[in-house]
Amino acid sequence: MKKILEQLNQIAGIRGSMVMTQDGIMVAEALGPDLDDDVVAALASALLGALNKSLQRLDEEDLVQDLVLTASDGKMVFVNLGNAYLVVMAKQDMVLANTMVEIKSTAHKILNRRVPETRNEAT
Amino acid sequence: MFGFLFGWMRRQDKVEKLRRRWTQDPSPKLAEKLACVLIERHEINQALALLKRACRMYPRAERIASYYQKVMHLKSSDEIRALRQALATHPSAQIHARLSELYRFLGHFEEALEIAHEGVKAYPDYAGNHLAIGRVYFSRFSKTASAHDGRKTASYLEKAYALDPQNVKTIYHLANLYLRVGHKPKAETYLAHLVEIMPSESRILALQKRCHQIPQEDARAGTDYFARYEARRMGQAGMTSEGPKRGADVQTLQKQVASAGHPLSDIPGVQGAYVFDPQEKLLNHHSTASEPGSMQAVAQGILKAVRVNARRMTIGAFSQGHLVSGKRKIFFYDFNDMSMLIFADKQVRNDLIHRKVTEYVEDMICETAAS
Repeated sequence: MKKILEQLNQIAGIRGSMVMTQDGIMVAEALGPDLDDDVVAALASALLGALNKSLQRLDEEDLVQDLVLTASDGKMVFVNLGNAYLVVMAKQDMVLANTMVEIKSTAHKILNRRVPETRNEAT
Repeated sequence: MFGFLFGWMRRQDKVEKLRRRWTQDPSPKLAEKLACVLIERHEINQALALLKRACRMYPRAERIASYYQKVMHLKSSDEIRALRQALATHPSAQIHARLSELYRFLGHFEEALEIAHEGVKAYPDYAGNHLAIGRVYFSRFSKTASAHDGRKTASYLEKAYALDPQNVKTIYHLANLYLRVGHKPKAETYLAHLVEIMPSESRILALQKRCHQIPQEDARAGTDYFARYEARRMGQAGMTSEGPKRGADVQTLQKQVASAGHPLSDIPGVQGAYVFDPQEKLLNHHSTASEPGSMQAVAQGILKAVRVNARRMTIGAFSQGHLVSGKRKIFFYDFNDMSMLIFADKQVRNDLIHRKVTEYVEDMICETAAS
């Protein structure tokens, strides 16, 4: 999974990426040297938790699927992978519209990779 | 050929004339004009010297300051190119540190960290690269107030200090960092050291004065100065960022928003739109939901969560975003004087909402200016 993330990170403008569960447990990470994986995972999980809690006030079964944030020093994208999230951190000047396809395709790669693993575990 | 020579002589003449005028009767406008001509002629060092002088003479002239920044960028880019070549042919600890400093100056923090980390790996006993990393984290800490960046700053600057205890830059940044977060004992120690090295420097004496004004510690407050500083800054984040000068304009804008028609109510698929002031007070809204009150609470919850966590995650002050949930799309925007949140069906196009929000905000600003 780390290799898939590293491939994604090769796109110009992406600072790092990781896969984490909703409660902040790191599954795989390929973050740059300036990003502390545990801190990012904990904060991303806090954000998702707060957003999901807010959403569930409107509808109990509603959950964040995709989330895109633009801020003064960078951008963040969250993609729901079922019971985990792909989190991508990008530079401020990166055009997300052009990269969303790559991010989504990475999410698919991770999902497809996980299916054989679970089958193996079952057998 | 003659045409080219004639043009060159005319430009030369123009520069000389402007220079003479600048020495006889300097003004901010003349400085700008002369700087522009010098930049056109690629005389970057001369333009820089002129703008530096002009900045000192007219500290409030914003355009001169912006020209100065531009020229510094140009100069730094040239130097980066040269240093990159030097790094490839004969690398040294100093080149890593200088290159990292330049990247930091240009705001390319990732590159700055990468180069300095490489420098630390190759030359672990050279303090300059530790200092460079510390300064990158310090720049980020100044923007984000994140405790993580603060701790990293302290750790790298302390390492640089241990390797080279006489480096004024290191000590100055350490003193400044601890002063900022309110760690009086450490700030005092580093300031005392600075005074020893430079006893009559006015900036250091000013820092010392500020340090004396820090109140005595409350033992119950805990020792994590960075976390406390972040919490303080987070608490202030909801307040208006500008001073009282703009207060009247902001109030007019907010009144305009409150009295205008329902925001974005004409777009098919929009379930609700909420406009808040920076204190999260509802200014205007429209909702098709059966319980608009709960939608408002959700809107406030989302905005708060995003605002606080974006800062903590070192991506700075949040400006816009959207989320797709199982049932709907939610768009959120944070402007200086108001924030907006829009609930929409999943079929609604993102670019349509972005365009309509921009139009709405522009309308409000134009009507405020007109009134």
